[in-house]
Amino acid sequence: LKKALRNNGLSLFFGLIFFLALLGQALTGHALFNEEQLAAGLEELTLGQYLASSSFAVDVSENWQSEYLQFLLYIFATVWLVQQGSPESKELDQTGLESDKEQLVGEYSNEKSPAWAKVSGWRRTLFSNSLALTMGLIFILSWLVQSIAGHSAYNEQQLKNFEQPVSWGEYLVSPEFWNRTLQNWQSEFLAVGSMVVLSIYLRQRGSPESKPVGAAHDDTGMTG
Amino acid sequence: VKWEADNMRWSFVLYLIVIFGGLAYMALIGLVNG
Repeated sequence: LKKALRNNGLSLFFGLIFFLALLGQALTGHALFNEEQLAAGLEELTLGQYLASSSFAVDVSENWQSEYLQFLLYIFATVWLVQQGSPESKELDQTGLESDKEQLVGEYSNEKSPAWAKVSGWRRTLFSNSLALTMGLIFILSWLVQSIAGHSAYNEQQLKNFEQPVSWGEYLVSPEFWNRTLQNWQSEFLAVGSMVVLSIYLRQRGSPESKPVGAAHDDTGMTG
Repeated sequence: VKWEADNMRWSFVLYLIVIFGGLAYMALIGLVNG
């Protein structure tokens, strides 16, 4: 068991802090929501009611979509674009999809290769893009959920203020929807760009996200 | 080797359940309240 925990440390660690942060978001979101209800002279919600409210759902989903967009773009952009000196980048002459030999597919696969890497046709094409496709699917679904829950939460707010509710289509072109969306995107894009650029000159000993401490600043695509 | 492969697979499956389960739950909330 000890070995199983150690060998899955990254996934367990991030899974655990995800649940703790989500719990914290739920508790503080509930408290904040009730402060606003009281100020408006409306009834408070129980925690259970808050967890089933569109206000909670939109706050969670708007952050999800931006994170998955970030990784989707990162996965795609790093196929075609390079950054001299960055361990996050491939070697400067490696841009593109690379050869079958480098990718260990078809006749270049080995006995331990996944079955769909050994075959050709649609199965290999699908498996060759499965990471980006899945991240892209999660991004699109989270963004869709943000729009649905956001629409519902926005209309509840409108009604509280004695204003007209809007249709889902109107919500999709509203400043509220795009402001929620873009405020998340901007921070993700800056963070990814920073990771690419800062890792040229800075190091973290032992991290695969960094070059080895003694690697030259202009070495590209090395991981420590 | 089998035991380790099973653990890897569990991490993968659990993450997918949390992600798509979470999305389905939030979509349901949005649709029911909307």
